Amino acid sequence: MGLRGTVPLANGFNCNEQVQVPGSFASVHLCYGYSVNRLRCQIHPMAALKKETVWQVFHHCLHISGIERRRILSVCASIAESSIKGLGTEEIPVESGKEDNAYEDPLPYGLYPYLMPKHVAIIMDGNSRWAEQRGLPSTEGHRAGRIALTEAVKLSCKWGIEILTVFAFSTDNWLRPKTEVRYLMDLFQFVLEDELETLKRENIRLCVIGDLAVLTKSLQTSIVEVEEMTKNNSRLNLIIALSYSGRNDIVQACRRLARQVEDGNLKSTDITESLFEKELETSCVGDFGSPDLLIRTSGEQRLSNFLLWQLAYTELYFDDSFWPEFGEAQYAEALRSFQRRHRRFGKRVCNKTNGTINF
Amino acid sequence: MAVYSAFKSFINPSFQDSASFIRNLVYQLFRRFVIWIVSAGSVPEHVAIIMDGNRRYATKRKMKKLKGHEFGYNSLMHTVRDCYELGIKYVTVYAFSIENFKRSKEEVETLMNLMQEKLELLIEKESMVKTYGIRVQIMGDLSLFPQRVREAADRAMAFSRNNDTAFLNICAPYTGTQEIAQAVEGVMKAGDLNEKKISAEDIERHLYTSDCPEPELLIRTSGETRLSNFLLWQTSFSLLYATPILWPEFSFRHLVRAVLEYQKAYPFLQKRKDQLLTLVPHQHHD
Repeated sequence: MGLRGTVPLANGFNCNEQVQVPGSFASVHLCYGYSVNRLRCQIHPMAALKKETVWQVFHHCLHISGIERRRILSVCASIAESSIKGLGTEEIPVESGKEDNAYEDPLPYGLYPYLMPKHVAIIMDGNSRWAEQRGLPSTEGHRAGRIALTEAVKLSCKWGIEILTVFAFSTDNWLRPKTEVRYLMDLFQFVLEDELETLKRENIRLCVIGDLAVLTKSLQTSIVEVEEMTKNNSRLNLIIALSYSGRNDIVQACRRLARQVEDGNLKSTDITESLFEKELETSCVGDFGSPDLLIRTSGEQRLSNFLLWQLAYTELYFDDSFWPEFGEAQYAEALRSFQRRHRRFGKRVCNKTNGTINF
Repeated sequence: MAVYSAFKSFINPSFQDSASFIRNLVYQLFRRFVIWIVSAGSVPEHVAIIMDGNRRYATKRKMKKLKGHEFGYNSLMHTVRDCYELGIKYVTVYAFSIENFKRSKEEVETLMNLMQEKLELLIEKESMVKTYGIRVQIMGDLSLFPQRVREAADRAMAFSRNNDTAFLNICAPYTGTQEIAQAVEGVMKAGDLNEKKISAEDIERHLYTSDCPEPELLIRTSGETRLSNFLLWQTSFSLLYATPILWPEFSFRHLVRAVLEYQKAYPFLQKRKDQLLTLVPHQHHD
């Protein structure tokens, strides 16, 4: 039950494409075996190959399968005919390769790299309830939540997710007890200063969206500073929604368009959906402001005024664990659930078996 | 002939007839009992439904895929009736998305014919609209529909304009993003373009659902958990309930289960609403 199709591999090669091995008369083609961590390598022609040539062929397989980007645990060679003397089907374990690029780490079991969502949004809910369950004050819950967020960012980088949006503080959260709000604001300030070096080192770009005018001046300055210093980073776009409300986002976009109409640059009849989308706060990541997957922890099945327009076709995933408990296992399960889903965007997708996978 | 068979069954009722009569009676009594129990708790005033799974149902029953939409319509009618009996005053359903125009010509044509036929059925004398006093509203960019469907929709809306006991909003052809975009356009056209004065209420006033409360419960059938561009603004605080049941199989017991889920989450929702209204900090859990 392997996967078929013209799935892109590395260096411009495709799965199932027959590729000549340089320096030999053999050619290979790779197809996914029973799991993403196994590639089946088929060698042509069936003439007798010396053992050295076989190794040459395997090294070429590693090269075209993208071993620099992901570690393939084993390459299983299957020789189609038994006319090859002395060689049979062997599984040759692959060496680990270069460790300097974190993309090399394999994805958890059951996750396919080409089905990973580009943009993941998370509503980090449940800090206070987690703390209450353990008899701790809610401030401890938020501190544990911060650690969980760091972990989520690290995993997103590792697994190749390009944009991560997190709901840190909603406009409704201003109604919480003053001490808790003050603690949270101090925590945000501290985290910004503390994590700046990590963001620079890991090549992460930070954007903060929301009604920043109600925050303290020092926090606003820190935010602007960090955004400025990380604006050229490209590995991961981390969007933090602070004092954010989906409806206010739409209202501010409406106001911006109203200003343009007032100035005469735009007619009110020219307003289209794509034009409107450009004015939303998530346009800091260009055209990819709509998440592919939304995860909400703590079991609540609501959106709570987060990213309303952008969630039109987002897959929603509700997790029962509280945010401080959300770790690699839960994140992988959410991604597995996403990869199993069939996204149609209102149309019908025909899954013809002509070698292409539509998703 | 009909008179003779009626006379015959009266004189000599078969065992099967009386059994099914008793079964029906028991079912009706049980149903009323369940409605009475459920109505003791809070029942959502407005329920939104994404009716998904018609084609899958037809495939499951080994029928032609487009027949599934007929069964979907029947399911809609009895679900709407169940909602009103439970005390849910507003029902909004997602009948047709603007994205659905990209489907095959055959399917779109079938859906247009079905919609025209059913809209015309609604305005017949014995229809549910009269029985329950339902005001029917077709929400969406009606200019995208063919003329005949548009006229049927206008007739249905005109026929039920004076009803106010219950409300049925049929979203066709609709997308949440188009609704918000046209609301923004409406705000611009309304005149006062002083940008500082534009607020959330202005946008709400121009939405299609401006005279309805927000849906407290959103039900999506066939197991998918996504909004598919339905009521994006209005569902920001609604409980999202996804069930793997296909839409033509959705029945009274599934609706009851959804309402019970809502009642489970209700205390939390109510606390939030009170907070927002009074704007006084409360100690609460989250």
